[in-house]
Amino acid sequence: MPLLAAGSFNLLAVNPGLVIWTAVTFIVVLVVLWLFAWKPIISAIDARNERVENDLKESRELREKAENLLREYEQKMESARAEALQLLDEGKKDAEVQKAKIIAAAKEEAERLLSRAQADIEQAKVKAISELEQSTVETTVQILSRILQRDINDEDHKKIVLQELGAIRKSNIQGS
Amino acid sequence: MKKSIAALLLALPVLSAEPVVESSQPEVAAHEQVEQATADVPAETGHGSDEFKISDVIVHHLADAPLWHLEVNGLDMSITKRVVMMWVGSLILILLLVPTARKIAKNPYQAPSRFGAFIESLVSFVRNNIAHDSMGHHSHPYEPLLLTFFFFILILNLLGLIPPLGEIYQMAGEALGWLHHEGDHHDSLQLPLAVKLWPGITATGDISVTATLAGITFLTILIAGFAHQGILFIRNVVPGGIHWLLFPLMWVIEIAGLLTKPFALAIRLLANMTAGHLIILALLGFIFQFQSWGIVPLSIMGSVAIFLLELFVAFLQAYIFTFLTALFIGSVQHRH
Amino acid sequence: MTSIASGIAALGIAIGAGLAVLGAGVGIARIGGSAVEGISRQPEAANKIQVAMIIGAALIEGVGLFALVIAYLLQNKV
Repeated sequence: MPLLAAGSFNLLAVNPGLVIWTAVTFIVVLVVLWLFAWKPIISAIDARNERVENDLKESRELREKAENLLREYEQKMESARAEALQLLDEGKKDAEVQKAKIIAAAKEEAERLLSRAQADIEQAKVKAISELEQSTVETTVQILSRILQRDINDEDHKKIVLQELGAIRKSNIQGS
Repeated sequence: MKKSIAALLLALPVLSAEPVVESSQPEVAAHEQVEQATADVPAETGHGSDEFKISDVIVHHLADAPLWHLEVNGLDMSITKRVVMMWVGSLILILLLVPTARKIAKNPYQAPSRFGAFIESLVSFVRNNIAHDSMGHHSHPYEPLLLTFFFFILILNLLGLIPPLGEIYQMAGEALGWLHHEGDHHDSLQLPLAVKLWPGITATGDISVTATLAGITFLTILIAGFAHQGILFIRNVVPGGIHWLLFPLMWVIEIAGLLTKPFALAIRLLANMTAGHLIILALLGFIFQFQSWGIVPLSIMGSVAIFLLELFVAFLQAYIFTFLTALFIGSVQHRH
Repeated sequence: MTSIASGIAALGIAIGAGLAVLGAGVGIARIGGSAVEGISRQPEAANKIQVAMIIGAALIEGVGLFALVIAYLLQNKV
């Protein structure tokens, strides 16, 4: 007995009623789903895709912009750094020059001060020596006049003493 | 766990379909059970005399049968099992998809719910990988048709894998004593309402259904051909660059090819949706054929494996039908 | 028809159906094998290869089913 043709069952027998029912059902389902399911879903998906695409495009543009800005900033940074380095260099040079100048001035000043001080000292020494000589002469005269109990002419005395002192100084200078 | 439940569900309709086995067994307990459902006894004893025949089970599960008789102008338009199953599938499809679509359309920029995302991914798959891949930018007007093909065939394939819920309900009710049914179990017109409302048959496992769907494909191919190429479509069926003497021959061949495509579509869907069920029924039928417990694990494991394969085939066949439809429509949009 | 003749006819139908299935099986196996080979060579083209594989397998399957349908139709004539 044929297996699939058992009883009233024929695998390839078309039932016209079923054909009509299938067509009717399918067309009803097609129309209902078309209007109430596919249309909204497709438009929603398309809207979302469009939005995503727009967002992507926008973000791409933004990124490009940001990259340009970044590049610009980097360039600016680079030039600023170069400028700063140059400034620093210049500053250093200036400072060097300034330093040399200041040092030179200071040296000069110091030398001037030193020479003046030496001159002062010399002057003071000369003065002191002359004063000392003066006072020594006077003191000696006084002492001598006391000793001699007589007044000698001041002028003569001074002459004598100065002569003596000159001798002493000479010997002093020679001795020292 | 899930597998065993699936196997149980698969086994149930076969058990319910075979009162023969119960009554032919010599055990007293089985007889007592039968005796309890007193209304069924005459009907069952009427069939009880003959032995188990796998072809009876196959006919019961795979053959269409009228549930409500209807005749319009002498044409038999009875509401059959497959018609009811088709309506159940359409109802489920509409009840699932329309609210989901409304929810998605309300907030298109919000992430959809889990089910919404699933539906959306299927829709996107059909649109991008089926429609757009085979038709390019001409796909837009055909998308709703392809989507409906895909979901309609898919839901009918999947529902066909669920055993007849109405029959299980009725059987359980009768066994537990809270449902009584008068009448002949083997006259489909007299089946109880619960059985009629979910006959659990694969609607796409019938040549009438698949041929109708393929016919719609054929009409769409013709419409697409004339819409994109005008009246020249009649000539452009033949690829360009053919010698004019060969033209009539080629034209006949190409027209035949045009007719073969939907025919192959119809046969492919029918055969695929029938073959798996046939194997499952045959595997489970071994149990009753050999009347042995030893075969039970083999039968159940085999049918579970085939069932899982069938789940895949349900998706695959919906995909292939839709994909080939899209391909055929795409092929007539331009001359080749 | 005598029973021997009808038996031989049935045998012919069965062998024919078997050969058709054999041919389709060999064809699909070749497609599947080549597709796997192609995918392993070029994993990035897996999607395209799969689509082409399914189309090819579906067309071969159609031919096989065509033969099976003819065998089925002949079965009623035995």
